[in-house]
Amino acid sequence: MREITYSVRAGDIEHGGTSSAWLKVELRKEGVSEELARRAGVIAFEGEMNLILYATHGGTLRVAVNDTQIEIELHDDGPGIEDLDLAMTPGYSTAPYWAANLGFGAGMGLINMERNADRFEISSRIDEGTRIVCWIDRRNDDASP
Amino acid sequence: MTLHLSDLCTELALEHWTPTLSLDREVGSALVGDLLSDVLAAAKPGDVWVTVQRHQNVVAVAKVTDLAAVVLARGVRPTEDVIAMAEEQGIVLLSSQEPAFDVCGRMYAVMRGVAR
Repeated sequence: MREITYSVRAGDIEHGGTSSAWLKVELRKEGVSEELARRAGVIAFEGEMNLILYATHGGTLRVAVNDTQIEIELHDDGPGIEDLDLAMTPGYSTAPYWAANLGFGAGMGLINMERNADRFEISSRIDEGTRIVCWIDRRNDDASP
Repeated sequence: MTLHLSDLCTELALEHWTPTLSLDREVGSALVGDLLSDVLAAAKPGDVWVTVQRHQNVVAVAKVTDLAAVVLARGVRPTEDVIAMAEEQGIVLLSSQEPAFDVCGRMYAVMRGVAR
């Protein structure tokens, strides 16, 4: 794999989440351990769902892997997050009611991403978009070459 | 005594929706929930997940967290597209007519060897 980019369409919630499942398969093929592939999968799933639920035009999920790390980047072009501290508060969610019925909007998405990353960066500007990058360290991974 | 998915199916009279997949996996723990992020945070590899959610994301969550199976409670039936994705991803889909509370109660008894 080395690097793979998935386009994520806005709104298609019932058919979303598929990239993260395939990503896990790809990472395992790359020799990534089950544990790190799971962490990458959780980050990708939450990120993918955020793009589907909140990004005006969807966005991209890009994953790059080498011998020392897995880098997962999520990028969209808006609407942007007004208050990042609030968005990072456990339990805070702006998910609409219909999405909550499908099991989304726990207010744990960004938290789950941060917890599963060794390094987490988020930046956002209103009307310009949001960019999240997560890094998982592979240097202590048993399955690494 | 080891417990396998096939034993769970028999004991709880579960319907199996992914017949191309084996029920040989050993099971010993489970979780219940309908909030996907909560399951992503709490699930351990090999858990059986009891839920009433039935869209494709359920398969993705189960795949990412390496769950042994998903049990759809209270008569929820998976749609064809969900079954197809589950078989493709190797996720065993089961269902029960009973509510999640009863499914969990019975499963706890079987897994922990508690008298019923």
